[in-house]
Amino acid sequence: MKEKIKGWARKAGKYFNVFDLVLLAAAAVIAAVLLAAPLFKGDEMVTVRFTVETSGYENGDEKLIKVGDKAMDSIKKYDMGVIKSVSCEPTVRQVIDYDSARVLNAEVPGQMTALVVFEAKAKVTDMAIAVDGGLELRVGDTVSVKTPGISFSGYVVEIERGEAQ
Amino acid sequence: MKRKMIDEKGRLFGKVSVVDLIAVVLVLGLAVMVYVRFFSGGDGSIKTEGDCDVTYTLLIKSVRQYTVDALKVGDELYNFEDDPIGEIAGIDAEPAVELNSTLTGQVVEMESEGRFDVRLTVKAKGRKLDDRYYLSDTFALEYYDTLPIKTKYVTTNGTIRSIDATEAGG
Repeated sequence: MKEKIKGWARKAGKYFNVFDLVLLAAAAVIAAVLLAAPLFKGDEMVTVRFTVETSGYENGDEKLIKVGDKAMDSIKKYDMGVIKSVSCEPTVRQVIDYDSARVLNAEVPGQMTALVVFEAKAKVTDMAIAVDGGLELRVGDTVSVKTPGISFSGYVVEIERGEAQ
Repeated sequence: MKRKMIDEKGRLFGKVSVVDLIAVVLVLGLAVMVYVRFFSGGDGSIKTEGDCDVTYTLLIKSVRQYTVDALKVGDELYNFEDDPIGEIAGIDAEPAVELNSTLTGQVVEMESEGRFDVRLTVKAKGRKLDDRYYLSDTFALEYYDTLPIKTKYVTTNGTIRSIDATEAGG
């Protein structure tokens, strides 16, 4: 066995010197670490649910947003998962009521707002939730969404903490 | 006999190839970077070592219930350079008040339906330098500075309204 190893070392010595072997070993270790990095917990993809509020639909157009449709970020083409539910309510706008000296939410006649719940795979770290590994979403962000039936933009208004915690 | 430092084959003192040496140094450098990135618990950036405890309040004006619900005590707060700028220690939300003009030409405070003014109490480690409190190498707290802030779950703007500091452990 010892002789065999010596033989291999002699053969390898023809092509590589000690430094080359050290370099190859170090490069192999670094490559292994970099390749294994995505398997670490911080880079694991988990399922997240988030809600987007989109406003101003007339003539029932909000019905073009359909449960089960696949969604994509229309700017950078990230996979935004699947629409799990859609609920609608009248669109409101802030107006000043001079009689009561208050700012009130007044319904806009003929316009509807949709609250669209998405379920998508996301990379979750201590600092961010990145849908499809790249689209960071937070409550207050604006997103542009493309589905088979309609493209729309809106505000992220809720991100469920569950698995994303 | 005087020996050349680098011989005609490019070897240092006739033994080590200069190219190999440079490659070894580069690989060692890369290995250190990989260690810092994946095993040291840090993100590779230089952190400011705080020497005082800083408590400051941020006023977030006129946000909806969604934003209030997304803020939680214990969440880490970041500025938009991704510097950690403390942990949320308290959340106090009350109906939003805004200044508006009336039909008789006065400016009055009006309560805004469905909107909230939120006071966030934030605790952080900081460093005092030239009468300013730094929470990172580049981020200093300043009264009335309005800054974009974010946690893992929410992004908004807040204005610094109070700053209190004590020496760490004091």
